[in-house]
Amino acid sequence: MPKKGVRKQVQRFPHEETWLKEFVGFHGTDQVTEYSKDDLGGVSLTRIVEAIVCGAVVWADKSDGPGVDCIVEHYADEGDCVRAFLHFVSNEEKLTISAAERIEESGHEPNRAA
Amino acid sequence: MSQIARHDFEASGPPTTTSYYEATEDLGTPFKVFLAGGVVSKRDPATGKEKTSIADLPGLIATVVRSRVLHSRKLSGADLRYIRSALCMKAKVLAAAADMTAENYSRCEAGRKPMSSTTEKVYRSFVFLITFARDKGVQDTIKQQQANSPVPPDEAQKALAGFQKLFLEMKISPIFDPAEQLEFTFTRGRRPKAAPCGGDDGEWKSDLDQIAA
Repeated sequence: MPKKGVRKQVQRFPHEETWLKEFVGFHGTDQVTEYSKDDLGGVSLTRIVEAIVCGAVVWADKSDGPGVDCIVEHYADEGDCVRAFLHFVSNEEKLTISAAERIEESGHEPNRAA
Repeated sequence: MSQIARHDFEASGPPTTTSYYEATEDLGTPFKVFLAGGVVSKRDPATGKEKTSIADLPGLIATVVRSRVLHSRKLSGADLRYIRSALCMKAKVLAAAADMTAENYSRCEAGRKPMSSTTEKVYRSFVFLITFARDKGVQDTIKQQQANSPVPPDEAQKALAGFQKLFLEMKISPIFDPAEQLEFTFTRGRRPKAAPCGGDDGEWKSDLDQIAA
């Protein structure tokens, strides 16, 4: 997974995006979300879920073990930009939020590019 | 002093034995949120950091939003901003639902202008309904009902009357003690008068949800 703060090319990952959006798009399921408060960078879980639902997967890679690592970015109406580093294992219905951060610069807006 | 909308389905049970997890900061809510059940915190031996697992996070967020709109305290700008983020909706969509211009809605969110009581009731009812739109259980029930038989008219009438009573006749309280912090507690896996062990029934609940039911 690339380091926090590293810029990457704007690229779409439709499959990963679909999995993630489906995962958080419905509730009343048995899915589990794991996180460490220290790694959320002041970004709330609610904002991260919003980023997953409305944002775009800008980087994804199959992990060595089960699941996939993804980076999601979302630019909200009022210029609140969020990046979340996720690990997602679909057959375990488990999402791990590895880290999150607010993005200062807004050079590109992946969720509006589609 | 706190105004507590504390939920406890087992009347003689948990508060003394259940530990509550405060999720206010984690969820970013402008009011206090406590969780009983459905959350596990443990220290990761490798990193030394505390890892928290929450079951059905989107379901919890939907329940939190529903509980807030069911509470009669006037919605603040921070409440409106939180609800919008939780619903993953754009300001102009919510503004249109509440029959407001996007500019006026934006002023309400910024706290520069209060929402009128009538508009707030419409807004609350819209928010309440939309939280069910992505609920798997609700969707399955609708599909089942469509496949079997439609809802009898008298039941539909009763539901509509209940909804009307809940929101359109709601007395919104614009005056409250600012020191009185709003608190909500949510449980997962306990039904009213449940069996002593009370397994996880896969749903977040609060007492305000019970009122709505």
